[in-house]
Amino acid sequence: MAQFSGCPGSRMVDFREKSEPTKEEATGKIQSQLRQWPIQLHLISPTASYYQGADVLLTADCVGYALGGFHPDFLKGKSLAIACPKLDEGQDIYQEKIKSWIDDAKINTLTVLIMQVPCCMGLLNLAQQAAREAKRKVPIKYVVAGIQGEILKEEWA
Amino acid sequence: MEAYLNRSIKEVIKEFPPVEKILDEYGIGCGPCAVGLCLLKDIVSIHNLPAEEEREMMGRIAQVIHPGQEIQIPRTERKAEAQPKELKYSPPMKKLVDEHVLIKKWLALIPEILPALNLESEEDRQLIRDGVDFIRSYADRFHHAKEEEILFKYFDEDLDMVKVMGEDHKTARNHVKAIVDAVERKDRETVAQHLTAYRELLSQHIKREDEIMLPWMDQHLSVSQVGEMFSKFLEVEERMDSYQKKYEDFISRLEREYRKKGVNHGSIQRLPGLQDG
Amino acid sequence: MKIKRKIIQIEEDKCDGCGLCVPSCAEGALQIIDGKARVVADKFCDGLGACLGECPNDALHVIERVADDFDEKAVEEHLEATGSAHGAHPQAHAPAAAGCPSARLQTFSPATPCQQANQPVSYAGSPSALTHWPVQIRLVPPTAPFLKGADLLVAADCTPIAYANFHRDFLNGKVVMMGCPKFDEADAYVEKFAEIFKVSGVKSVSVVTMEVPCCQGLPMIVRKGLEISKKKIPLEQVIISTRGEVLKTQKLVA
Repeated sequence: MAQFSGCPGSRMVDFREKSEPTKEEATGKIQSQLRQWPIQLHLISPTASYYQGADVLLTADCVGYALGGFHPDFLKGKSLAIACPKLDEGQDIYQEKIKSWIDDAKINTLTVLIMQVPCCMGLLNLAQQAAREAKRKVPIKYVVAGIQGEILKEEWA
Repeated sequence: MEAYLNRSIKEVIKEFPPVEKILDEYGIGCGPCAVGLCLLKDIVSIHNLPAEEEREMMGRIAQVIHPGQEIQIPRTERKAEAQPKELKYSPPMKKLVDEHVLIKKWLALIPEILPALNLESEEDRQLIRDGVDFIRSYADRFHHAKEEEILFKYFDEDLDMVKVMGEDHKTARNHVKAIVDAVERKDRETVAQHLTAYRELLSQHIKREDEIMLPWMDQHLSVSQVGEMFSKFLEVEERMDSYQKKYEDFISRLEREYRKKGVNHGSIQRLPGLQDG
Repeated sequence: MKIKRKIIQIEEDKCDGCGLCVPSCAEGALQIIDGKARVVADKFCDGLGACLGECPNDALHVIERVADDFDEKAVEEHLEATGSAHGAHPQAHAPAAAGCPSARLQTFSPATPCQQANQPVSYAGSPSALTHWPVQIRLVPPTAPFLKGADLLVAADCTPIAYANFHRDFLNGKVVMMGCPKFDEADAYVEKFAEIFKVSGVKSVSVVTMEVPCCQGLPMIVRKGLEISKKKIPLEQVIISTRGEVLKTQKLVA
């Protein structure tokens, strides 16, 4: 690890241009579409470079475990943050950050990707509440994933 | 049958008039369309009927084209899942649909205005000029501009649907020109004729956009493009920020005046797609 | 056998017999009797506390006292006897939570999907490699049937986001439990893993973490749980870089 101050776990890294697109090998290897660090909503700075004017994906923690095609189908071309609306503490800051995405980072769109379990709806509610308080308006899409990996719903909020 | 799927709907209906009525029964209103360039197979796939209905409709069309023969209904390519009853639009499309609502209110007023219209009176002539202003400023400069200068640019300009919609816009503008001339000549016949034609054209046009074109375009736009379009629409609205209120007020005023006069609504022919609001 | 252990206590003054807690217990240990929630038998209660969140009156608490030890076999028989197979022992391929047509005792109030949402279910044959629910360490009970004799994958929350082929390379054929060693309660996790290793017969453990230092707490948690359980289970760790490459694979316990 390089020398730096602060927790390396939350050190901001933007690696959008640096990776070259490689062809998917015949073995069916999926190419990683992650272009940033950190990713947890608690740790991200909403005005980080990779959020500026971006299409943002706000996703529940479990989604990566339920969707085999998360990278190519949802993450591609987006910047993201992950959170758990049921178990995370200190969620007041979440609304602030989402509002900052909209007003300060001036994001292009917000896609909220959640599981079908009822507790996950909290993430969408959080996003909509933040959107109501923001000055700018952005289109918000929400996608509901089933625990067996199917997409149950995909709609503009 | 295969060959006919690849013909323009205008040709198909010309050769087999009953096809128009069949399509109409399934909510496909190709008949009045002035252009008719869309290929039959594209029309079917765009409308995305539930599979059973589509099969049934195609069966009936096949019977008209090849009476008495057992026809293999070729499967048309489905662009997406059959549309649910309630259409959900992306935010920019929703703006366009909402603007359609105001335009439809104007269209609904036309048959209420025409019967008592007297172009000898300056007041009535001004009314028509105000109506023309609504059409040219709100429907055209504000609304159609979003469609032509922003939305359509996301698609291939050779796409039949885009061409057809563009043609409709042109035809509408021609009607308006005719109305402007006729008003100054106090030619009531011509004004009524073109206003009525304009009303029919726009109602069908709006219905097609709301039910077919906009949902289809929504399916073919990426999330990123939707965001961009939304942002561009907002810019237009900021530039023309007085329009929405001004023209909403105009329509409300007319509705109050004409509906207060107790016009007999029963005698007015309600065109499809002109529900209130 | 009586031992001092964690178990549920119901504050009768606060309990109004609403029954919201009843379906949240996967072991069927709670019932409404004479208008109050009661633990049917101490041996049916595993002390996990899944019911705690469901009580609107804060009448449920986890305490430590001398009680009959949790008896899983007895729970199985109890559930079969009462016909309430709503999650603890599902059939293979049982459908997930909402709308589950389980037979219920009449004193139960119908469970809302929320209460059923995190009850363990197993299923298979899907495009993703996930074969069970829930997946969060906090929500998986040590008695979950899908843990029995499984190859366990313990993953840091961020790993499937950083590693694109997570399902193919790590999850396939395994049962996963996810958590965040930075933000979640380490002690509770250590206890949970100790319990799991003791009772579930897990065959192997693979811990997948990010390269960032705060992630290294996770293998330590798992290791500690293993020590407490006194079981011998092979344990390996895989470290993923933020660019999505495997940096290191190492055996922690042979």
